[in-house]
Amino acid sequence: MNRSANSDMSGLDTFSGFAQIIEASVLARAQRGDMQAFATLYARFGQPCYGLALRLTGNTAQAEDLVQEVFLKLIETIRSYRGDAPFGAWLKRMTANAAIDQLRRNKRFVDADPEAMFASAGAVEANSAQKLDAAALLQRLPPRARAVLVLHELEGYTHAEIAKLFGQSESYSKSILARGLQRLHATVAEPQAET
Amino acid sequence: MTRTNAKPIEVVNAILQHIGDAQPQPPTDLWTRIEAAHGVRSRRRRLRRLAAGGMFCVALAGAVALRSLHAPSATPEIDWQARAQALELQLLAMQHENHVAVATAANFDADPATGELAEIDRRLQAAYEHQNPVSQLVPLWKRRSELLDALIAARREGLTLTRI
Repeated sequence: MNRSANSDMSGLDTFSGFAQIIEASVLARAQRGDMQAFATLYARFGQPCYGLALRLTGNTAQAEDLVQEVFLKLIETIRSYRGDAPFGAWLKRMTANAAIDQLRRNKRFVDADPEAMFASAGAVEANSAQKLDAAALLQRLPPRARAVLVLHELEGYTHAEIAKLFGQSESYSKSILARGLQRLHATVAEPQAET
Repeated sequence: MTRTNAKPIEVVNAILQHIGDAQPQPPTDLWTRIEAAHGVRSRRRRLRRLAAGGMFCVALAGAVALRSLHAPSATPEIDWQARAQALELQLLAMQHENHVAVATAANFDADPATGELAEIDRRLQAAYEHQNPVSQLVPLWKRRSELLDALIAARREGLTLTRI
């Protein structure tokens, strides 16, 4: 199941979000350190980058920090971009990597045991309004589970790719995803039981 | 997105669809903040480079100062061999100009200094043949320089006297 407008990892099946094609001249200027070219890149990719960051972190402040971190890194590393992959796909991967690095840096979420991860995040009860709010529902998942769910279900990453990103096994990714979906199903089912 | 009469799995799918379709906009000033952060980083990097360069210069100056402090003497070491050879050339030129006998082994008996000079030459020759260490050669070259200095001084005195 992949609901992203940018379903192909290469990012060229549509022309929005990360799939936008960027002119070679803009890239060349950016590679020469032209800040105006970076402003153009931000104008094109700032929104998809922020959207992905927000889906992965579930927090606007963290998403803003992430976008800032990604674009600062882009300014520093764009010279190493050789055009092997579409620019959008490269930037998307950079954003996902930055989000996962942020999760890793946060010691609270280092726990690799899915059982423990879901147990620690299980205490929060959603109210009716939250259950109708998609973003709030995702917030109820442990951060790693949310990231796995977003990457797999919305961004089209495979379990192998997610496992590589997290430095875990594929079965870890599958387990986290299954539990995350189960948690969401249970959450949306609760009000029906109440009424 | 509605949950009424829908199975949880359908609701979750709808939620994910909703999240996937959403295009949240970043704050309008985010790029300005990124540019500002980049400016700060660049300035810091330049400062770090300057500081590193400055520290390198200070370390270099310190190393040079330390080396000169630990050097055996404040003046550079004298190359006695070169000095002796230069003095010999000077003496030869003087003797040639004034038609004075050359200080060679052939006439060393005429002057005690030239006799000692010949003796030093023999010892130097022997030292080189036996491949003696430099530490044994240096005192000989030094003594040779001193003798040549004395000879030059004597010749100068003699010349002065002649002129008077």
